[in-house]
Amino acid sequence: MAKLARSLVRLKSLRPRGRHLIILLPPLLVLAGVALAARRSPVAQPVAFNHRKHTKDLGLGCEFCHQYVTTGAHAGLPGARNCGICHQVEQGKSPEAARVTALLGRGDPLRFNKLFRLASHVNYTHRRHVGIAKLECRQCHGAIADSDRPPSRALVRITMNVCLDCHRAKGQSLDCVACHR
Amino acid sequence: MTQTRREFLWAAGAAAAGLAWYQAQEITWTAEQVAEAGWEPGIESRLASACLLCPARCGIRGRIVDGRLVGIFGNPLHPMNRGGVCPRGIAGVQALYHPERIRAPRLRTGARGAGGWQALSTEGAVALVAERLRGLRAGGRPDGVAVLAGYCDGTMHELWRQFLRAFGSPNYVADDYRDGIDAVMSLTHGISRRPAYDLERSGLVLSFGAPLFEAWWSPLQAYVAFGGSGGDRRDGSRPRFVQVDTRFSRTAARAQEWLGIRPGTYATLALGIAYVLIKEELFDADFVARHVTGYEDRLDAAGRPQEGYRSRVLRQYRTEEVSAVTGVPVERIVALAKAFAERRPAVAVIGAEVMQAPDGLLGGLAVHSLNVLMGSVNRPGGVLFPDDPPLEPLAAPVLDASARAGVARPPISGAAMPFGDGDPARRFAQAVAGAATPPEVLFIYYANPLASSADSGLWTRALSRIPFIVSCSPFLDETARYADLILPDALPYERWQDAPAPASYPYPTWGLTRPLVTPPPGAVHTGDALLALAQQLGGSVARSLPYASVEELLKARARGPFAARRGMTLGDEFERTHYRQMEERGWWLAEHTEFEAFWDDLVARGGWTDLFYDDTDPARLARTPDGRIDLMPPQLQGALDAAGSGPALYAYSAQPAGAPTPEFPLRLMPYRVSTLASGTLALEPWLAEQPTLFPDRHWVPWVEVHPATAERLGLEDGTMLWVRSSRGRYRARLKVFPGTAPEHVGAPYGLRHPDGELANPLQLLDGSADPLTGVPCWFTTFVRLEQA
Amino acid sequence: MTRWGMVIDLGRCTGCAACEVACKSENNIATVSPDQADLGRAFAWMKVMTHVEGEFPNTTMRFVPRPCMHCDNPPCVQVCPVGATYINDEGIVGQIYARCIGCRYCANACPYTVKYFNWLVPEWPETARAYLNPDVSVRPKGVIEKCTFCHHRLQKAREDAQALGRELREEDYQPACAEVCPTGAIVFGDLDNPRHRVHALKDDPRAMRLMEDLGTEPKVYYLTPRD
Repeated sequence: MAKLARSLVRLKSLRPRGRHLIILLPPLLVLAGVALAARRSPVAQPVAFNHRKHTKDLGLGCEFCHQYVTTGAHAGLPGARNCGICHQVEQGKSPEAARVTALLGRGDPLRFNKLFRLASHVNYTHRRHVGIAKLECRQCHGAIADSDRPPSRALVRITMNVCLDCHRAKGQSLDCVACHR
Repeated sequence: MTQTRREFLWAAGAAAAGLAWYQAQEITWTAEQVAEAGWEPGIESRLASACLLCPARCGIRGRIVDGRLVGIFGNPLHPMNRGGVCPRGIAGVQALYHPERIRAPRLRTGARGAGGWQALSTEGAVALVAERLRGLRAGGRPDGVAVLAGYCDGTMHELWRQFLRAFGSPNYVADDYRDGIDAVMSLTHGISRRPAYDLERSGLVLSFGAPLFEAWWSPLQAYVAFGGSGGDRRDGSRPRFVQVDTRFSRTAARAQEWLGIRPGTYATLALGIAYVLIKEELFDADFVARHVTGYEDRLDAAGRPQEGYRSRVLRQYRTEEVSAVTGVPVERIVALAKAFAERRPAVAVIGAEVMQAPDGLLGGLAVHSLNVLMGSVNRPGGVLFPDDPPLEPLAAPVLDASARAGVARPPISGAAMPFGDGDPARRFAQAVAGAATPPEVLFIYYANPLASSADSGLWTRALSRIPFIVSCSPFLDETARYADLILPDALPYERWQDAPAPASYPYPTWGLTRPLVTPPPGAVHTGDALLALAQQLGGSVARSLPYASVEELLKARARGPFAARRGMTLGDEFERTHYRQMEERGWWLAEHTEFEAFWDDLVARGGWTDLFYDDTDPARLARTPDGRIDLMPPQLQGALDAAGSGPALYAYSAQPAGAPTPEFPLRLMPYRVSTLASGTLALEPWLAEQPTLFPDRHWVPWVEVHPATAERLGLEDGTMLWVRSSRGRYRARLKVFPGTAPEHVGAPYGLRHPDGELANPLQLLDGSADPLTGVPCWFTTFVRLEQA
Repeated sequence: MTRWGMVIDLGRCTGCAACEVACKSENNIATVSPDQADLGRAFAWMKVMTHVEGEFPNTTMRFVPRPCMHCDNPPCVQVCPVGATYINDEGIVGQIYARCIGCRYCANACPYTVKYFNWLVPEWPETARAYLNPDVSVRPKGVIEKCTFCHHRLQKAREDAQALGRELREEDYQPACAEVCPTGAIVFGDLDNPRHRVHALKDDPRAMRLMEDLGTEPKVYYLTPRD
């Protein structure tokens, strides 16, 4: 940041030769774009997890992998321990399933990456919304349970208006400090 | 000014780029810290444990979120602190997650103290020590191992002792907060134990310099009594606190009454109060007649008449004279004596400051004599002598021929003083730096003499003569820096240990710490390391310590309270009252019939306590040959007679020891700070920022000087100073404070500068000590202040 | 109607500062460098103020723990141009960091000087992340922060009570300072609820509030020492 500021000052002192400076504009804008893009880069997962297969075809509940969905702040993500319950031995014919078994065999922790993010100033807990208020997962997460490959971006964009609309509809608190921390 | 379109575009582009960059850099920063830490579910628990950061050993509850300790609170079930906790305890999380923690064993590579280290596995490190120790035993020199331990109590203390004994060494050297008060009790009551003070049920607590709210044995015990928050007094009344102190301390500030007094005159004031009590017949004559020897004049064993306590006091402590010596107005002395008699039960507390004087032992006796006069011994609200928790003893030590020979040799620190052992660490350092054969291996356990002792030069000389120094410190303190091997202990929140309440607390209470979080893989629980060492050494040493871990050892010891048929695992106020009332009526109800269930409960609740004190037991009053409290102990009389012209019992010089000189005009008054005791822990920012009495003195250690003195010296508040005595100097910032006596320099001990340097006023001390107890004198040194 | 408030018994306060440090621990309060602290930029949502009178040996000292007063008529709320600070239905004066633009009007308007500005990006050692309280945000540079009566604890307490299907009790919701106070000097609860201790204590003859003449109607009461 400071370095960039210094270089900007230096550029400014070159202003009499401003004619050439226009050349610098595109790269700067690109840079800005890169910086912005870096904030919302697509999320990659270690394996191509098929939600539909697990939830619809096999009938596993969300809690099987997202262990803390009714009790914790975050729902929790599975790792080698959860996957290993079934995938320690080969399951089905999918090459991806075979890869999971192979990875587990090598001791890979299978660290999944976080997809849905809330701003840090929001005090959200799954316990309050799923455990107590019994909201459906899809209400915030969209049709994630029907996806057959991991999306690289969140399917639903949660903004404050989304929260407020629901809070209004269900007669819940609209007080700022009830959700902001 | 004209602007071309091009220039405008340039500026706009740059601004956009800057803004984007700024957002990317700064806004996400917050998120990075907490929210994006991962997919941690936020599963939390609050688990009972105990605080080991000072001798008080309060019960705590750790708030653990996803395996991290994020907060420390008081354990409401612990009868001493009842949910309260002090700043130091709370800041424990900053010690636990301190960036400067040593996370794995280290072996010195370059010159001593040069800072060259090589990492080591824990097994490798323990094996290295075992090899050294095996060599010592093979060479017939088991006494060549020594332990220098800071404040160490409970099972860890017994473990070290047992290890040394089985190995064959008499060299356990304590470098703790000893003050010689146990000698006062030993002489008068025949009970060699620090007294317990039943502050909570007292009507008036008269403290002679005891820093009850700061660095006392248990500030929390005093807080609970002061706040009346303990629930022991049904009428809602609270004890009145009166603080006699040379310094306007926080205790003095918050006590209902403060009497500023000249240094070294505590005993004179105490006997001045005794004078009024006797003269006005306000004391408990019945108690004195039934239980006290030495009050009236008597004939000694040889048939010579001997003056008793009463005559000595009436002859020498007329109120006007006491007032002139102490600086306390006559009417306040009289009023205080009357209050002491009226607000019964009243108790007089001996502060360490009384003992840290050339005639400290005699001063302690004088202060304690007030409790004897008022019969405030072995009575609710007075001085009590409780039992220790009934723990199962350690396995009987097995000594082979080599160990027997070793323990029979004289300890390096030499013989103790006539009445107690006030400063064994100093004698050890003197012996090792001098002619004595130095130990081959020295373990250092929570002691930091190179920075916090009164003579770091002496310690440097002593340590340089010891070939192999093992430090157990989890932080690279000054002494650990000088070690050959560091076996970093796990922090209290990561290890099993026991935490018996300090002697000042009137009920046997046994707290437990257990791992709340996982220690770093390289941390070595010192207790577990000792047990592993014993196994590697084999033979009789291994048989003396047949425990796989400290956890197993503690569990074995818990069989004691389980079988004792008294007491309870910690419980809430209802359970406490219930058990106490049952025991008062001679009943006891087992909570558990199975030991395993008892143990689980003990761990879950944080310990065991027995809140019943049997004040009808005469053995708790005196264990002297005639069963009476002796105000004129013959052993002490004999020692004083043998010394000749020195001080006599209940006869004190009118002048405090030491005198100012033109070169060193100000008396140095060191004191311990509540939040930062003795410099064995690293700097914790929350505490450095919060020096309770002076909110504007954050971070930098200070000294307190009266405004008139500062003006005379031409020094302004906030000036950086050198405090210099004939023995040395140290750096501190000036705090102009009207609560300090004009001729004093108030000097907190144990603070660190932001760069880590310890501000240690003790290194300026003149080195004198009470010849009877060996307790060093803290208030006989004079200094001057120089601008740094 | 719920009105959260606090009563601090100055006769019981020993100035130990457990409240102050517990607050720092609970609320992820940043530590500034010694130099910045000298400039008066150290944070202390709860601060033990001291006042000395008289010279040795007739000195007296008063200790006054000072949190945000959560005024019923808060001057800070009136000046905030963006609604980042406001008073909610239960009387808690909230501070929404995401809305704050850092103009510091509120800090200047507050007669109790309880509002702190983040002059710098707070620095935490890498290892310190471990003890950050996940229920409380870490404030960025350029916003005002202050005591919230540990409002996150209320959210959690409500959640716990709901999960157990029972009413919220007094002991369920206590700020960190009240929880750790060793002498029980800090009492917290609903001023309008006769079952809460503060309800009676606020009407104690010893009760007073700071700068009452300003009409800010603070919800923090002090009990003056008896002697």
